[in-house]
Amino acid sequence: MITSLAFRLTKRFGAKVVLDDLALEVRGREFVTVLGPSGCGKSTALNLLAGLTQPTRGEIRLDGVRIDGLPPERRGFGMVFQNYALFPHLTVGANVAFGLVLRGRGKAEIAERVRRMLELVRLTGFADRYPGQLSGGQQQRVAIARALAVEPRVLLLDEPLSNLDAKLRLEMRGEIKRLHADLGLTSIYVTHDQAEALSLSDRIVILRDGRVIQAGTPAEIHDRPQTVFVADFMGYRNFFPLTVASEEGDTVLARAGALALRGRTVVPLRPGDAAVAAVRPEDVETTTEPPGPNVVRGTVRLTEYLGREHGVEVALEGGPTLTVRLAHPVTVGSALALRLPPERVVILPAEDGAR
Amino acid sequence: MRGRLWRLAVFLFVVGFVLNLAGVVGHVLVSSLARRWFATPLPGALTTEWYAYAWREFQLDQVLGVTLTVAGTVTAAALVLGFPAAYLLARHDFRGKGPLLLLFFLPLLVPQMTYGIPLATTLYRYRIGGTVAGVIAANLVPMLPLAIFVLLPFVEQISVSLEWAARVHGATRLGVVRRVIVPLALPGLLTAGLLVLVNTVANFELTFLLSGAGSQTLVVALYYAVFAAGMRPIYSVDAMAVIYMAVVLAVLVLALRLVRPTQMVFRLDRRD
Repeated sequence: MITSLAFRLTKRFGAKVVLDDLALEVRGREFVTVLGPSGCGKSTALNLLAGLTQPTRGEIRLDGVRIDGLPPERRGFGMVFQNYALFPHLTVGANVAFGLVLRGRGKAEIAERVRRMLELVRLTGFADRYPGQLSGGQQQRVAIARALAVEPRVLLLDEPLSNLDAKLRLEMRGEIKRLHADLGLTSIYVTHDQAEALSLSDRIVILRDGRVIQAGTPAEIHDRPQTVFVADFMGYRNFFPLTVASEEGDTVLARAGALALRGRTVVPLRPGDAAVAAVRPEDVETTTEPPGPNVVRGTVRLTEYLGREHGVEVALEGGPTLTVRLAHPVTVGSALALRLPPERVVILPAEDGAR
Repeated sequence: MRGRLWRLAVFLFVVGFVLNLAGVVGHVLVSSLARRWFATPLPGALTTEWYAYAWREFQLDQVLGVTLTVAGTVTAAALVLGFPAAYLLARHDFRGKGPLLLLFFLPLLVPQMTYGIPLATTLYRYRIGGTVAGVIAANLVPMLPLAIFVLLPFVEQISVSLEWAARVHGATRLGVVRRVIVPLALPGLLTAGLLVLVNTVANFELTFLLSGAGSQTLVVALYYAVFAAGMRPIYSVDAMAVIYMAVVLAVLVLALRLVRPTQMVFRLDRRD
């Protein structure tokens, strides 16, 4: 059991900065997810931790001891790869035993441990098969068993679920969470999927262009995004560029033309500041209130049946479009009055460039 | 109608090819066993004494020894040198890799005679020409690129993440080579080895230019037997040709027992 993994890493490929001073301290038994779009440097971060690539600058400390000079095989980590990376010429059992054989463990001990690992990932009886004979989900479970067999000090997972179909992904997500809790693992998980990050993590670090944009618990990230980028990543679909009219504690009123929205702030804003109001489709509700702040009118332009609810695109008076989720069907062309509850609207500082 | 014609054409071609081959090989085989064979469809009497004669006269034990030594050494050297080279070429991209590869594979494309003579001149100057070592060195010139050429796609299909997984879970660099790369590239190594072996046994030009009295391989000895001054019974030369064919066939069969062509397909088809 480790108590902490602390690192501060910078990686450049030529002139391109892939990772810009990424600093993080992971506590023992913690599940930390690095979340970001493809190309944000998250996989590079994992490869640096594993020792598969060398940082341009920085250090890695495991329980206070520097390990960045050690080759990958001496760091004592386990790693699960996106494409499973199982050895095709070895049986499932030999794949799981791989790290143990290299550590010179006895035959009986290896056999027992392989049996236990396969039991843990629910693949008892598969030891003699070859990876090519398994489904994607089974292969990923073998990869997890192989990583766990060496009793890793830290488990690194590089988008382990992104090659699986939706149903299997959900199933494996539960499996990973169960194993992490049952075995008391310290895990660093890399993904671009916000649902995975929210459901698995104790802490989420959001990375963009090699930089940490925001870090916090899943609830913090989900409810209190600090930037438009994070809000977009966390499922806020509606963004309205506004100007702050007045502030009052952590709520502000912002306007643009006829549109006036009151909402929460996470980052302090002053009157006159350019801002963006963000709201999730499922937080918007129909209303009979008279027009005023946070109440808007519009015409239904598009409806989408989503099973339990209806996705509706509403063209608001004055131009912008609002995407909402409604419990009841509405017809295209009908007029609609909608309320954006102030406690569900987040007012964020405007960003330069694209969100 | 067209399909049937097409099938007939293919059938006739195959029959023609087999008949032609059987005719040529059959003639040499029968002639090597004939006591005398003139104006009759088949020889009057058969004998195996031409084999003994050829073995003695052409010193075939020594020639066979040289042939197998040269072929074995060239194959081993081409694999030992070619595998790391193929690995580096497969794993690293650099400016000018394309032109370099083309330059590298030039000995495979250019007729051997064009560079064989200057190569022989150079090797003779350093007193390697005319020796077994010279024959081996000269054969390596086209065989090393051939080995690399064959190995390259086999190495390329081994995913880097397999190497990474091996490293993270405890393998040293050498351990990765031993436990992951070599086993996965084994079909490629066997294929490359087979092609180099057969090509070296059959190589005429370079061996002809470089070999001296004690360093002839079978195919060169056969050439000298046919064209050297002095009369030799044609039956003995045919006996030698049969021995040559038998050796090549034996090498091929032996190699194919180790390398199953189906296994190559299976490997290439595999996901990593």
